[in-house]
Amino acid sequence: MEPPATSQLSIRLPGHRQMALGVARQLLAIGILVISAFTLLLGARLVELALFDGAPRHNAAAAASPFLRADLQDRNGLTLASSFEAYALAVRPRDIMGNREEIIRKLAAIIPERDPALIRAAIFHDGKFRFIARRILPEQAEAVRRMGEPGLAIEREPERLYPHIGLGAHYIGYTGVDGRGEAGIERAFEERLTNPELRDKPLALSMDVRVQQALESELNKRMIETEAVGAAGVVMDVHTGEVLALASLPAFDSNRPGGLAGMPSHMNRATLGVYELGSTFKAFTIAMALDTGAVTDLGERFSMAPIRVGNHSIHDLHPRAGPITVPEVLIYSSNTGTARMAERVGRERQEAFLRQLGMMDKAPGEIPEKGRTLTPPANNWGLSSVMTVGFGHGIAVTPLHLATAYAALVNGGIYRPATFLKVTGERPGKRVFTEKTSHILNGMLRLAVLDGTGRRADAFGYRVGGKTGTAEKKLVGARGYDHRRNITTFAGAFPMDDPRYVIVTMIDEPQGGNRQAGFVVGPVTKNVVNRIAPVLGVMPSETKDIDVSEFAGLWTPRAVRGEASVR
Amino acid sequence: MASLNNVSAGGWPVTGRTAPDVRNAGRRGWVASALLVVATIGLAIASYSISVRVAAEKREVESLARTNRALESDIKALNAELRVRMRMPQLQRWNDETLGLMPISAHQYLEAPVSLVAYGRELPNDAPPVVTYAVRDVGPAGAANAPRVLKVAAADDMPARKPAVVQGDSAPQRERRQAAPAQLPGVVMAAAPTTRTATRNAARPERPDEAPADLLRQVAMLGDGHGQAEN
Repeated sequence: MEPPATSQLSIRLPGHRQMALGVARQLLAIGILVISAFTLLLGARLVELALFDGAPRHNAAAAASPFLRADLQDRNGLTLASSFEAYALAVRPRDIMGNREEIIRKLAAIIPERDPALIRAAIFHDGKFRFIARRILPEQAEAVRRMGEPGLAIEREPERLYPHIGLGAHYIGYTGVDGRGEAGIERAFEERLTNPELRDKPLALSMDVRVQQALESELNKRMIETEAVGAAGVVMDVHTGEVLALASLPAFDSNRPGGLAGMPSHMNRATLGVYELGSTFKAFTIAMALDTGAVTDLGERFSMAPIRVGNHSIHDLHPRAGPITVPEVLIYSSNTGTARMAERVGRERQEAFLRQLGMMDKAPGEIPEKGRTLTPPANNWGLSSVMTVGFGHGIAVTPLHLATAYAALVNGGIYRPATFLKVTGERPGKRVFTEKTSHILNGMLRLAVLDGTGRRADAFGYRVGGKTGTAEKKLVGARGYDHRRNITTFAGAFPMDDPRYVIVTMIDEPQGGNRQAGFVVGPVTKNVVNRIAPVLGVMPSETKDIDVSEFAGLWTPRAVRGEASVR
Repeated sequence: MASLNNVSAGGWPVTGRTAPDVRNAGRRGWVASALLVVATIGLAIASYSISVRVAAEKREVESLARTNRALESDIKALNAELRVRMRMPQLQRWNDETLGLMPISAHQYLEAPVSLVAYGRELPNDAPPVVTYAVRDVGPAGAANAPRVLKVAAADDMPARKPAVVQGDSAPQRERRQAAPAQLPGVVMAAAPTTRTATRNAARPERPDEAPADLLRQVAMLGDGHGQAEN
């Protein structure tokens, strides 16, 4: 061999060549495997995209969608809340390129409603980001954009608009500055309202705006007249449990709810506040007594003599000379009469009835502000409690509890929990009272309005029936009741010959000479019924009234009855 | 050389072929390649143009969708404005302050159409029923009871009103004032109409001079009874 060739020759061991070949083959195989695996992966992803990923998304168009959060509508399709895209102006002080004083001057000219001192504070802010104005108009946003200052940022934010301002504020609720629901329906249905698939479909509530407006404005008028601290009201469909209107006053503007959730205006008196609602409970006690057979004869007479139980006594404000019949117990609102009936019903049956009427649980319905009722403790629900609960003392419930229970009482005896969503078709219910009991109570409630304490609530022609309730508030920080602070309530239904709507009105701490429920909330009920009955399709009648022949001889009708007696 | 003959251009040994065969085969291969290239280019151009067209269509659809979104937003905003303007508390305020509408009372409902009878006027027993037609103006123009055509004419004897002169006002102002009619033509109606159009029970004056004073502005009636013009 030639010398250069020999110098290049290295020593090859036997089998070295085979080994190198084997390694090269292995590397090749691994390489092929990796590449083919990668190709397969790409192919699989393509197939997946083509088959399972649906239509290609256009992010630009989706961002411009006007449906940021589902609208809320009333039962007739009127919008109660809808969302818009709004602009917020913010600053990133570290990115500002231009002259800061110049920027402040220009911004003050574009946003004159904003205090220049605040704009200055934001521009000279020692941080990364700060809002200058949370809401600016589109024209202002455009003007700011044209300034071309990279340190100024225009943020697009969803803005919730409540066209009816403060109407039904506690019912609908409101959204916070970040767009999340913070009370009422807005909070209860946060997921439903923000679900991307349902955002373009409005959520239909059971509210009727016209009813809500009538209830709120009449309550507000009366609240101002009587210098009361608050008012609440509920209108409910007795057959479906739909809440047509729910008012709590003082209210707030849902568009500008304000910061503090603890303000008196943010307290939902209709579903969160619990009150001893007094004599309105007497109707339940009589119904329980009739239903259980504790009282079988409507003509049975009950003495109005005071009852001593434990260390206090139960007496009537205006006792009559002789004993009174069952209808008269309701018409004259006798404490002793209902206490005697409650005694016969007994603790177990009373508690069972109250449980079936939802009085032992939180308020019904979807909205999250729900009050827990105050009932006598299980170990102290003795005779005294049975008697006081019989006429509505020693038990505190919300006006919504009362309305739901009254609906069950008048609709034939079937309990359906309240709902704030529009109901189509039948809703299942649970029977609490027999149909006969319900029928008898309907008659008695009508008589209580015609000849009893609720005469001012008698909206002429609409056959209103119901019961007033005046209760004293508990003393703050002491035992006993404050005689000057009353809760006045009316709970009733109309038209009594075939009840369709329940109405509960309550005024908290009315001032003035007459603080009785009949005087304070009776006129509110009358005005509300006069306004809402025509829009709800209830036909008034000058001549028709409910048949009360079954009570003939059990009470003496007044010479001038109902509304006419207090005109 | 014989061994060279058996080697083709590509260097592979070819058996049983002559030189022209080899040349033909080469040409055929070249033509096939050219065709393939042309076909590929053609296909590519065709696909590209289709792709461009599809892209253009898609862009158009997208811009249409964007327009739709924008319009939807506008509709929503306009609807919202309308709803805010007719919000319930506002309607209530208008009603409380200005309109003063009241809810319908039970007296205003009729329980059955038959109750309408109660609102009828009692007829005297011996008098034949008087049938009055709702549509009155049905006779021909010349008929005796045909409604009169009332003509109004400007009276010439109205005193001409002098244009007011204000000292120191400019020429265009003066011109504008004079451009307005200096004299309003007095409307004269010659005779009181003999047919009366007032509905029953409506309190209308019998003669024009019984009309309220503010209606007595040199108004007289010209009625010829035959529908002819008179000046």
